[in-house]
Amino acid sequence: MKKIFSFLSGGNVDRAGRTSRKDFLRSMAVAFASTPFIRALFRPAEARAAEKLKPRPRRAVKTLCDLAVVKGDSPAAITRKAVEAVGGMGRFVKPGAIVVIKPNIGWDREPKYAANTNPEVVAALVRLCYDSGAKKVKVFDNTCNSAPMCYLNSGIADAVKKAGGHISHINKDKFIPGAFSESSPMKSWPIYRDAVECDCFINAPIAKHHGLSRLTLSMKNLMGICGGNRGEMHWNIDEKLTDLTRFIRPDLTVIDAYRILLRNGPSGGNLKDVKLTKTVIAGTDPVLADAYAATLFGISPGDIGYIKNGAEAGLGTMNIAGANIRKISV
Amino acid sequence: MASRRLLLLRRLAQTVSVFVLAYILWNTRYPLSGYINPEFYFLIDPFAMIVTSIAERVLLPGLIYAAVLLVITFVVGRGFCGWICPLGALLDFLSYCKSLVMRIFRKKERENDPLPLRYGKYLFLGATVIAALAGVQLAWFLDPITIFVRAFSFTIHPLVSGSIDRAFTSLLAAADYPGWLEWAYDYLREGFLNLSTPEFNHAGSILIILLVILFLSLIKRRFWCRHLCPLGAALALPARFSPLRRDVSRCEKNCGLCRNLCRMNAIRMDNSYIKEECILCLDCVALCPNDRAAFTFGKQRAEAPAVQAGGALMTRGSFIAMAGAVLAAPPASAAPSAERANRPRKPPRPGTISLIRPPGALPEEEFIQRCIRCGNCMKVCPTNVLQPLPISDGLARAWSPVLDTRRGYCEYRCNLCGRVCPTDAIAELPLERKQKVQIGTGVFNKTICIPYAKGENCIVCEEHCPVPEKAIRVKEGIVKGRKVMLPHVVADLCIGCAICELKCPTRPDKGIVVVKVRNA
Repeated sequence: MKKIFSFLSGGNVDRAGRTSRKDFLRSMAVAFASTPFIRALFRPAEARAAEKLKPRPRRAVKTLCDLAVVKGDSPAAITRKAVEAVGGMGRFVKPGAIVVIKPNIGWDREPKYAANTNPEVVAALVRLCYDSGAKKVKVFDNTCNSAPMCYLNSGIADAVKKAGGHISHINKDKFIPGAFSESSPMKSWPIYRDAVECDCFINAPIAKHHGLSRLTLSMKNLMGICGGNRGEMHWNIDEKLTDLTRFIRPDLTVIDAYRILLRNGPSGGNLKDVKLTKTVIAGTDPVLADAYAATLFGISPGDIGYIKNGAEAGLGTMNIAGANIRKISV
Repeated sequence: MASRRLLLLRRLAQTVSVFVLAYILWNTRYPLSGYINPEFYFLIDPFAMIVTSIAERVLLPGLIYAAVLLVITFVVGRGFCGWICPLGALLDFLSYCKSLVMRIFRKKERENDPLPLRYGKYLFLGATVIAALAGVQLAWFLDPITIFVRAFSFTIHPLVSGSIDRAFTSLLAAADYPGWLEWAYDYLREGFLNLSTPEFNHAGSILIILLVILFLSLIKRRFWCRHLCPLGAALALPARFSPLRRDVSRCEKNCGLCRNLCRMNAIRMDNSYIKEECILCLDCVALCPNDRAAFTFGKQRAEAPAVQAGGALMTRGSFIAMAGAVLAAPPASAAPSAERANRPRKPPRPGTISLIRPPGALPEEEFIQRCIRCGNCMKVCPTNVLQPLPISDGLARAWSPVLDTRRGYCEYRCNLCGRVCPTDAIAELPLERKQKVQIGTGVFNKTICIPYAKGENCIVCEEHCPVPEKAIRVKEGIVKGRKVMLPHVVADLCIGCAICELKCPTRPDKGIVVVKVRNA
């Protein structure tokens, strides 16, 4: 040990193995001087810890209609039809693009309970993205129940893998504080990096009942990319969801209303609460998509806090009568 | 020295045994793969099974497997200890490492131990059985399989799995998330790593037993097996009558090499051996310089009369040991007796000390006697909510599983803990029944709960409540002049899964806590 020390300090050692004071001071100076270099090794990590996620830029995509509402027996077929009616996936996904599809995989329930997005809808979207030349399609959700159970029992993990998509579990290190505006109640809420750093974000929620916000639709579905103490988002939820939607700016919203949960949401668990509506809604305006989905429950869009708030904040329109909506039956 | 292959075979068997057990334990998690029953090593463990059966006065299904092992031991002796026992394999490996170090320092060890301390283990066995007769199950503290499994599940697995996970996440962060590395990480997480590494309270104190055993084996090889192991003692009883015996009739020299080699100190000065001590490690056969020792089936030959002395059913030594056990047992069993547990205690502060047992657990008094603290339920729990109780909560219930509702919650559609419990201390309930079992009930703390205290909407608890009809419901009310949704618990529906407590956004104290129901 003494030999190693003297070798490191490059100094003389007396008989008893003691270093001279000069050598000691010199070695201390070396140690002191090297601190910046050691710090420099960790600098990238430090810098990254300080930086904030920037909001996704707004991309204006011309569509054939404001909203497509397709009814039919096959979830996959009506999904394809809805996307086609809006103008085709090619308008949103460019060749080589990295796409994120964010379904609702929040709960440990089978598809028939209408607590998670229909796996066939998700799989159809994954296939459409690859058909349009996507390089990689990522599917993930920050689940409420334990993740392996949700991914497995929702049927989404299987369906996405079969479609060639990339299903990944949440890596907690990737939640990075988002750069929300100063006045926003979201402040610097941690947001999942992958959801922001992508070329195309497709929001694929399921339409269902929710105790606090009455319905959980596309805007509420974005809570699945948030980290932190998510329960706190329930406080002043309408404004927070508006700011979150503005932060992410989903390029395409596809609401699965094949089965909708009328009561006891968002987790459900009783088949009596599930209604078969066999509908898929697609559009670029999240507020309009949510507004239309609300009507499926017989609720006026203005009664849902975040839809009203989103419309007032200029995020989109909740004026269904004034929008160009294409209704198709397959 | 053709029989050296036998040594290789034995080491292979030991290694395979350890890895099979490690594989079983590693995969004791959601979803159970079902290749090997996670209870297997406990079911074949006659000590744990018999003692638990006696203490609880039940016939555990594991007794059948345990009986099979006893029959095998009756035929071939204590082969289990030498070839299968994972703790024994670990001790052998440690001694091997030690011998490598000793070789560097050119020190030789003598394994022969003139002190006949081998009766210690019978004392432990006797004391445990007598305690079991009095209704107290102590196998959980002394069973070698359990000790090994606990150490693995609580310490080794979290450490290994967690370090790999941490290494990957740091590497990913440092390299700015390259696609291939993410793919590799995701792939590992799917099958090999846990999505979130389980952590256990008091893992250090639980590891101490294993560390002590390991330390003792540095003093003498297989110290635990020679002197202390009650499972070894239980196997020694039938092994005594095994027809397989060591044949040294061809040995003329009695050079004493095998005597010093024997890790169990089973060979006497006159080259006869103590049959029930022999674990068939075959060192004496394989390493005999003259190739004069062997194991054969058959009757004892007349040439070796010395062994006959050990053939008597009860030697003086073992009689003394048993008598000692009888004397030692009453104080041992008196300590955590049912009477003492029933004695009225100071009632705990409400909502603070509420031992919520996993769903399907037996009534408290029975549960702490039936549970052998193998840790299977805690290992398998997908939310890490099941945690070992500390010793400070009373020796009687030390390390038994309890819900730590600040770490996790009881997953509604999961019944894994009951499915992996080897002694059925937690019953294996079908999902539909498990979803009806009330393990506790939620209680709102209205001075903390946001809607009650601040008049702001929250009801995260209602959102997460997994009961289809919702055990937490809301009513509109007016607090501080504002219209808010006020949650309340429907006691008949609440099963006490505690997801509401975990997800409640207030910090550090929760607006809703789950407490034990009196009659649950």
